Amino acid sequence: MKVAVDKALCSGHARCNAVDEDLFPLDDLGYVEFDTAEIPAGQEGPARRGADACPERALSLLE
Amino acid sequence: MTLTDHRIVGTGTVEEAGDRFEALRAKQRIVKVTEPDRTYWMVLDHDLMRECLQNPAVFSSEVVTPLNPDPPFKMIPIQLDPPGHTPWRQHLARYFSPKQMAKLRPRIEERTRELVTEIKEKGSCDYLAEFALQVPTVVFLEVMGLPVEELPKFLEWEALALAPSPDGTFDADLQVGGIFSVIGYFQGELARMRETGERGDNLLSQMLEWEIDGVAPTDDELINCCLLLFLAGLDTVAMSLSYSMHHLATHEADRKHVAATVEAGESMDDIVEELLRFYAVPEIGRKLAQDTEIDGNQLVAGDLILFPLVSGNRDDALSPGADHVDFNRGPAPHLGFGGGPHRCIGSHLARLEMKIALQGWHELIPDYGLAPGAEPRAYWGNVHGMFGLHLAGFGEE
Repeated sequence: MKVAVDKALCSGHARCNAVDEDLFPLDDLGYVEFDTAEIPAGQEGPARRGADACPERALSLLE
Repeated sequence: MTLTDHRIVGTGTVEEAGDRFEALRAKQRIVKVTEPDRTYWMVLDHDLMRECLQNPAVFSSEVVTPLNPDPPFKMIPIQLDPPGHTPWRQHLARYFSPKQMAKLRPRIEERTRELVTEIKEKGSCDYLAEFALQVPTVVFLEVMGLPVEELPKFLEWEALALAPSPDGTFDADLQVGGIFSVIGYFQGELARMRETGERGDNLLSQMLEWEIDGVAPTDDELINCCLLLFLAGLDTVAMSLSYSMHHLATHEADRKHVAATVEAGESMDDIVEELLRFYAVPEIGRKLAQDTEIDGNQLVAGDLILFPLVSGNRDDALSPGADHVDFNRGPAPHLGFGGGPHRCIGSHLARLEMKIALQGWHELIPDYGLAPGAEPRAYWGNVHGMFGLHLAGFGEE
């Protein structure tokens, strides 16, 4: 599973990071650091919760 | 249809501040409101609110409240649209990022402990004046790098700039007086730092090193930005805390849940998030930059739009049963801090202040209630507020 960030929508709420700071690392400004990231096996639950926590709907999971 | 009996500015019970939108949202996502002095569109629905706030090209921040449709000057950066907004935002974001917040924690904890200890000894308090306004003001001084001795002065200016008359309106002369005092103070500080070359690990002195599109901002621009931080970060936090504490004082099961959570040393995150969702205090505005159609309504360039954030936050589309507080709700990605490029830059700081303030209170005062005979009155406008919040039923009685 991968997670993708729509950089045009991420506005630094950092709610994904509040769910799991390792899966959703932030840059110095507090915005999500990556464009897409691989989710390690077994981490699908927190990845989904992190994506669901985004008020901008900027995160999507790619199976 | 046009609504004629809704008012942006008013007073009433604490519950009414957020309940005023429930019946309206059940009927439509957007409604045109005609008041005697102004006309604007009001967005009530969660998804529509998010889509509008994410689209600054159509919904411009040139105007940020229908109460002030022709602002004489632009507040930086809240009234700038991208791309002009972006470099300012990037400079400021460093100081308000989640990583930066850890530095502020000890100061907030210390001040919270001092205040709650004093209050507990007294056995009653006006939570708003004696606690809720104090904490964010101390934090503001800390972020800016100003000495804590300036607190009384800033509290006084804050009262002038942000405290309404008994009818919920603001006396423009008092407001201007408070604001000019703040401007004068920052003018003096920036001039002094320019002169002495003094730089520290704080926002005020580091601003002098900024470049915006390769050019150093003028002192007027920097002062404008400082003033925005002052106006946006104080009563919003104070009122979010007061609405939260009013809720807990009047809902025994929720109060016990919070006290038990604190006693067990468990995370305050879900509690704070739910209170922020249900009692979102700001109502924010935008101005149409071009004609657009929403649900069969023709909106025309120049029209004003109001987004009462609490209305979107209590929409069942966001989370089932959104019309009541539920600390076990789980994540509800609400818009209590707005959305889009202007998402409240102080959101991480506000959350931290709320967590520490509620935790520190309940550690020392787990049980309390409204003081007898002192039913608090609320007001609303750009921010939902209260005229006071008298709590009692604790301490050495």
